[in-house]
Amino acid sequence: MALRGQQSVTGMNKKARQPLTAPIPRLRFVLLAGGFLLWVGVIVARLVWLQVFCNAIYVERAAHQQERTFQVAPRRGVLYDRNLQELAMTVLVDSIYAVPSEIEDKEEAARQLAKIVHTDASDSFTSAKAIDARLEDSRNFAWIARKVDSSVAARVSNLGIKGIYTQQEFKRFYPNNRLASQVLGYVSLDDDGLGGIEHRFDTDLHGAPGRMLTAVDARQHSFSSVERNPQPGENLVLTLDEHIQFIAEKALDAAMQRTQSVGGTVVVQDPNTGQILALAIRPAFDPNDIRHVRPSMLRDDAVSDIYEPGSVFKLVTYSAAINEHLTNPDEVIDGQNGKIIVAGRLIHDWHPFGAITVTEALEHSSDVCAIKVGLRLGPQKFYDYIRAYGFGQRSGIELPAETRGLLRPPDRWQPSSIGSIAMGQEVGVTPIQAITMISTIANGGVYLPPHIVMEKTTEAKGSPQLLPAAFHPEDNVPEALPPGAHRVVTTMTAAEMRKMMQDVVLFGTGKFVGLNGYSAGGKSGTAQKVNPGTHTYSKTDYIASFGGFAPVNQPAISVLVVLDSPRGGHHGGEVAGPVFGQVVQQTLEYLDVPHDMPIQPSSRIAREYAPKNSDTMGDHDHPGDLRALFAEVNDLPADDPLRQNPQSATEDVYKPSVVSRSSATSEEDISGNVAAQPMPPNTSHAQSSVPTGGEKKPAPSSVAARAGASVKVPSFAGQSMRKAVETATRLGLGVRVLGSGVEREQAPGAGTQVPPGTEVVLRFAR
Amino acid sequence: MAKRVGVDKWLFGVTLLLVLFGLLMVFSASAVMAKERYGSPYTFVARQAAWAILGLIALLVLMRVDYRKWNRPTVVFPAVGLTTLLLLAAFFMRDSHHTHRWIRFSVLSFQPSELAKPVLVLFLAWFLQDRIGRLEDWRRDVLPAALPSLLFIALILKEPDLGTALVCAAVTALMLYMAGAKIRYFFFAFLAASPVLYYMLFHVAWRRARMIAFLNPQADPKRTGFHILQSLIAVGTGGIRGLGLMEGRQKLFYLPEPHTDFIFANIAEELGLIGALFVVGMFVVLGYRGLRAAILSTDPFARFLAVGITTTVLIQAFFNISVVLALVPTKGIALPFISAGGTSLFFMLASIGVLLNITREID
Repeated sequence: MALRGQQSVTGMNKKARQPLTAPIPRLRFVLLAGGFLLWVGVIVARLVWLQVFCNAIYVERAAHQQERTFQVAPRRGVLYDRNLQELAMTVLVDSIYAVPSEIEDKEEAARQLAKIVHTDASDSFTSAKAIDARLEDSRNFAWIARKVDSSVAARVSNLGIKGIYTQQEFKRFYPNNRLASQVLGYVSLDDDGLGGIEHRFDTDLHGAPGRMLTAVDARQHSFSSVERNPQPGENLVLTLDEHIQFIAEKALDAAMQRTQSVGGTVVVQDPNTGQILALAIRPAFDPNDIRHVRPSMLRDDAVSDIYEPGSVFKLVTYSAAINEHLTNPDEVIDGQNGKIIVAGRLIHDWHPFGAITVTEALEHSSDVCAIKVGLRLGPQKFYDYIRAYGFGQRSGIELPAETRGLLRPPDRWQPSSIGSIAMGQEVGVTPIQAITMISTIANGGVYLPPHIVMEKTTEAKGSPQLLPAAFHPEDNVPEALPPGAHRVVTTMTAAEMRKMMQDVVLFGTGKFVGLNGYSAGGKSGTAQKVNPGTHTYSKTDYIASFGGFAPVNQPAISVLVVLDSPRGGHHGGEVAGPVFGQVVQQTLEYLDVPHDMPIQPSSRIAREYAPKNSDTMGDHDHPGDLRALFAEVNDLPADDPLRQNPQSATEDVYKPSVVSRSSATSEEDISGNVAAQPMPPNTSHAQSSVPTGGEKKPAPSSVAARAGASVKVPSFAGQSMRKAVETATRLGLGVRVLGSGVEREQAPGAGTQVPPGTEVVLRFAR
Repeated sequence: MAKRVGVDKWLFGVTLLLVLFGLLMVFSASAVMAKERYGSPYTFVARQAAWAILGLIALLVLMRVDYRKWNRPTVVFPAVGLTTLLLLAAFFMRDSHHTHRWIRFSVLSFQPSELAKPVLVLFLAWFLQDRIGRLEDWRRDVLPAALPSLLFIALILKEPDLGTALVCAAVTALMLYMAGAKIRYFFFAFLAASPVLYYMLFHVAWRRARMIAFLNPQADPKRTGFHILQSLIAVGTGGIRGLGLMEGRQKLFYLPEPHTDFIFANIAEELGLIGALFVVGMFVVLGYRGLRAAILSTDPFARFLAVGITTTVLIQAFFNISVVLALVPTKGIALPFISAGGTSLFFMLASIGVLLNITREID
């Protein structure tokens, strides 16, 4: 019906079309076109607004959204020691993450995953609840567990849960575990340096992260394109020497165990450059496993902790007075029978000395004489010297949280202060400040600012641009002083001080040092700890220290040993002196420093353990120096039993109560080391010369037990290489051959008892 | 009759340019996704090119067929009837994405709502040609004119495809307006439609979410506000010169439908303000030439046909761009000639063929 009606209408109109047709009104065309043009105008304005005026905002938002999508972590720079041995490096490990939108049952997935990755109950990151929360929180990305073992990653992928992926991440790895841990510091899960060098140089080491686009949409997940490659961090070459660090830590660990100290520091410095060669601090932590380290252990005590130096500080007093010609080493001073009154305060010396020379006063650490010399200087001059030695100010060493120490200006001194400071009280110093003072005397009177970082470099190991820095222990202080260096005392004063300090080692409080073949100068220090609560001196806790250098005439190293609250003995000379001796002896030998004293023909070890027929001993009395050979022994490969020791030793530190079995084992190890190199162990040395030292004697039974299962090293003197190797092999000894010709030198020496399989180093020459 | 001159070369040229430009941009926008989904980056662009060739053939044929051949009830009513049948048929097809927009014959798929637009224009041109200025009787003029429109719109709304329904409504309104309908009719029509519109916009959850997202995109940037924000980021990062062809990043993971409804965002990102203005400019030229044909033509049927075809293109183009620029709420409307989508491209080109035939008689 309707259709027909319409048709009829159309039919009717067809006839009338021509006359009836009116044009479409012009106005309506104009309005239509105008309307569209207005619309176009709005669109163009909007485009200009968005693309020109808001461009920067949107570029930033796009970048933000893309960056948040995915960051590619950069490889953190390597920490090298001075010989380019890696102290901290970066390895690739697996991390597990999820694309939550692909997971069907998140709660169940979280539960299953946690079963595998939640290995440590104290770790709240990997609990099922935490994983589930992260899965619910994001559509695109959620960590499940980071930097896990490959076995864990494999088990997770075996679960076959959809939407779970693994990705490789960089993980900081410290190949030597605890070695130098306090210096190196540690990093967080995200590679942020949180302590030590890692913290101090975080920006350099960290590098710049790369950017990667990944899918927001689950379907497109597998598509990703690298937007910007990460920039790896710079490498740092430290002034530390891995071997010297090892020597220092081993000695410190042994001392810590022996003395039951609560803390300790050993610093080895090159006095001619100010470079720190070793910085051992206890307690140490394992930077590979920071989750289980108490925060208090993560401090760098060598620069952030101060202690009262005690008698070591008398070096400042005497050197200042000698430099000012207010005294000389041979002047006789009245010890006043151990009593002196300073500004109305009566001070007792530890021993009632009579009239003694200045040298003797230092040797025996007379407080009265030090005070009298200090009084001659007067507060201002004394203060100027203390400052010149670097006390009371930051040394600028490249370690975080360095403290200035405690040193008041003279106008705030008590009347009696000058007496206290002259003998090392009322001042607080860091071990770094103290070693730098000792180095100043050792190098001829020039303060050289200490350093622990040699250079920053982007070169990778193996690049010819990155050659190990040449290290010549015999170097002198350069003519043109480096920045921050200045002369403190004259060369003459320094030489007189070195002579006096040598006498300390030979005849005074340093006689427990016990070196073989080297001269040394040093000074002991024993200070009562200040109780932080009451600000009074503790009657039971002491800081025992010993600082010095060697060899005396051409010092190659300075060493400072500080032990916190040793039990048994507490005198710096007795407790810290032997540690000093052990470190100096091994370090100088490692550094090939020529002997300047006759080597004792037979070490005590050899005498005690060697068979009675002494004709084989003759070979050991070699006129030539053995330093090259010793260096070889010290530079043993990592799998050598020598290198295994610190592990057991450090572990033992943490269970000091276990005395009988484990300590006997570790004593055995120590004597084992010594037996492998003809050098007296400080333990037995101290024991034989200081009967009242209060130190534990190593049980002779353990030595006897060892001797039973060992091989006596024969003399290879004059043998051909072939013969020598045959002899050694027959006895079950390993051989390491150096040079060619006939046998000239050997280590260990003939007659030494060693375990079967020990490598004997033989040097041949024509 | 009127003397025969050549077809409008501007119109022909700008259409061809838009199609070729569209192919390029579809490739740029879809290559990564196509590789991801189908293994070949050319999947979408090849399909689009096939439709473009079919469409250009239709254009060339219709350009040569006298448009008066369509000006008869024996063409108009079967066309309206066929469209209605196809729109109904879509409801009996398996749904895709919970909508009934498609009719599929094995690999070929067809969107009847794309046919509805030109058929609507044809019907209105035929019906209105001799009613200019006389649309006064509700029963005899206005309602019969609006009836097929209302039928189509109702079916398309049911699919549901609000965008196309709105385009149909807008084209109908504009053609009635050009026929001299009184403004108050539109006011009444709007009043009558507003409850339906309100229901459509605010009672369908996802549309309401879209509305809220339009009003405040930051309210939920990860879900409902996501499309608008990502589109704006794409446009905004383009700057004046753009990131370069194929260099767009937003299409990779962020832009929804970068090769169809949001292809303009991809153009603006990759080619910058220059590229965006180029596209807008081409539509302005097309609109100018189309309306010029409508004004200069002496045949009322041709005039309405030209107005209808031109406004269909312009409304879709500007509406699409406005969605991308967040000037209006998100609606599923393709960018004519450029967005990937075969049916749309084919009927657009066919319509332009008719328009070109009209221009033959104009100098």
